[in-house]
Amino acid sequence: MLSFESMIAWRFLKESRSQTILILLGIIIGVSVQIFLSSLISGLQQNLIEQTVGDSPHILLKAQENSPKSILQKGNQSLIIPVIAAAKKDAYILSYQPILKKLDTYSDLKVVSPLVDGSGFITKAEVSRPVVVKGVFLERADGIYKINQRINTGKAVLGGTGVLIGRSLAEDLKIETGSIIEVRTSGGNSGTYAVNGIFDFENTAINSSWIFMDIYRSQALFELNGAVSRIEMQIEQVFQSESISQKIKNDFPDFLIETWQTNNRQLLSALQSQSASSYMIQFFVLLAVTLGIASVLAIAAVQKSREIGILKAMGTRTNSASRIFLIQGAVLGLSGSILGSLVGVGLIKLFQIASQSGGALSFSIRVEFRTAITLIVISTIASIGAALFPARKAASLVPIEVIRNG
Amino acid sequence: MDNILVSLDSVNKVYGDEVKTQVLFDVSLKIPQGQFLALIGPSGSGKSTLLNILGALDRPSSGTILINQQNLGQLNENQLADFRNKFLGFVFQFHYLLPEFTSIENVLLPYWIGKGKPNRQIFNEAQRLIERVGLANQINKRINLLSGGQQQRVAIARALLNRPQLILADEPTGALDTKSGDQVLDLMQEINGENNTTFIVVTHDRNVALRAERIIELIDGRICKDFFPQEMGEKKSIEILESHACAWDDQSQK
Ligand SMILES: Nc1ncnc2c1ncn2[C@@H]1O[C@H](COP(=O)(O)OP(=O)(O)OP(=O)(O)O)[C@@H](O)[C@H]1O
Ligand SMILES: [Mg+2]
Repeated sequence: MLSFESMIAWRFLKESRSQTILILLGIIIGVSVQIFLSSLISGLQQNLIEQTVGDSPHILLKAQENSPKSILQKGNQSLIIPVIAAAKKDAYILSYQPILKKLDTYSDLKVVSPLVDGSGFITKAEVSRPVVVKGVFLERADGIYKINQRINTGKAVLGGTGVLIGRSLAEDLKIETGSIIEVRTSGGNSGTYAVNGIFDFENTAINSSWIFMDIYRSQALFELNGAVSRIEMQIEQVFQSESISQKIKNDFPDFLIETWQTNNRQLLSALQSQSASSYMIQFFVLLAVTLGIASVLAIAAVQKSREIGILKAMGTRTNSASRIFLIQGAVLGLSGSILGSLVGVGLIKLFQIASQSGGALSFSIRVEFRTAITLIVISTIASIGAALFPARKAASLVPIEVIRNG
Repeated sequence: MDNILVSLDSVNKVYGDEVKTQVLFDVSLKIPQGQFLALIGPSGSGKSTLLNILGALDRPSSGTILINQQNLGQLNENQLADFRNKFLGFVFQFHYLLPEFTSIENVLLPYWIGKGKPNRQIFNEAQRLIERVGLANQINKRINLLSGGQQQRVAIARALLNRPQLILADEPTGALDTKSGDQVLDLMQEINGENNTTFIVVTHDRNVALRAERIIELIDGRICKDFFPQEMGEKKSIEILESHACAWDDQSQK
């Protein structure tokens, strides 16, 4: 049922059509610019983050620095040298299986992959190059590194003595699939392996140094006695890393947990200041639009003072008279911002089509439903706020003034 | 004895804060239910001021007004608004209708303000009132497409909808030619006869005044004359109107 105030408000809006359209246009432009801007920036940021952390672990579980001591205490002479060498870089997780078993039960972890990380030299025909050996369970590591997709020649298989090497390394040392290579560790161990496949990570540093190896073989090579360097994890929502890592920390208080944010502080603060400036722009757009609505509605209130005076003479209460203008503000704000959101979505579609044909856009922009709803709510509240001034004017209007002065 | 509907007791009105102008001086007055009263007087004598006070649109500087036993001085702004809505009907010189609305919508406004969306029955009542004022063909026409006389009649229909006890009219015929002025006056008198609705009509028009049941003349904010033209006969009435003697002259002469 339509209240008396809404009916009058609606009539006033319909009657002063040009003012109504003017205000609506203002809101539509403001909101669509806000939608466009915020979606573009969040699309850019999402894309940047995905590129940065998409194929690297989001959360790491590492041993505390003191754990090598316990290895030393075992008194196993053959272990000491490589472990001390390794300990300069990192400590090892001695018994990772129970941890793995527990982590596998976490529903918010997409991938859990233990890793042996060691350095050495690869030698072929008297030429040697430094390499980083990545000892993995291929099926698990594939979830993070997408190895299968990145194999150029050969097969992504790590059974037996099989290894996978990078494209640059292969070109450099003229290695092909099926070639036999020798890997020598800084600790003096060595092993010979068959190259099963050559991968391309589109990253020269990785392509020229990484070697994927079966985790058990790498443990043997580095004489780790079943230990691993760390456990790498990926999650669905990259920004939930802090809360998930906290959960892991609670379950494994003896270990170090790192998130992708730890290693990407600079990127994050850059993104943050970008967001801040985008909010700033949005705030001023909102302010400009609100002031515009306020001034147009204030003029409308003056123009309608005769009508308001008559309504009051006939018994319209003060609050009721104010509400007529607040309702106008709400109607304008709500409909304008809904239309503005639609226009904003349209703008983004256009932008995507335009830049796709130019080939410039390598990422997708999505309008977040939540962003649109937030903007609609804020704009509606701002419009009601803008209507406060004419509403107060209507409230303070004395009917005899109007009747006396015509 | 007649039922007293309106009772004014020593009503004074002073305008202005720094420069004070007193407009009404100790006006006391009793108006019985169903009376058709004409309020006359020269320009600036305080007719509109008195009418606005009677219409709960303005408050007196001192003195009391009782309408229907309700002391208006005891009501706050919202209560006054409700009182206007329930008990009073207004017909102003410049008709004061909402130009955005049709005739029937304007007539329905007082009901809508007071009680919310009108039902079928109220709608029919509004329709009947518009037909009653002779505008059956203009029901759904927008107000600004009607002539001045037609608008004034819509204003009367509007003043009637909430079945008010008291209708206040400030120069309802002032902007009309003689013929449509007469029609409007006929209409008000018919309604006065049918429903026993009390009318207070401010007018400059002597002929309009002479058709009233009672004439009160204000001069400089005081009641100068108060008489019943129908009882006096037209000749005597015109004599009284043309004389410059006032009620207070008699008293001061004594
Ligand atoms: N708000 C006000 N402030 C100051 N003086 C006022 C105000 N309203 C009316 N007056 C003065 O009060 C006096 C009476 O005015 P009022 O409008 O009641 O006269 P009136 O009898 O209706 O005159 P008219 O026949 O011209 O309509 C006038 O002198 C007018 O100037
Ligand atoms: Mg007047």
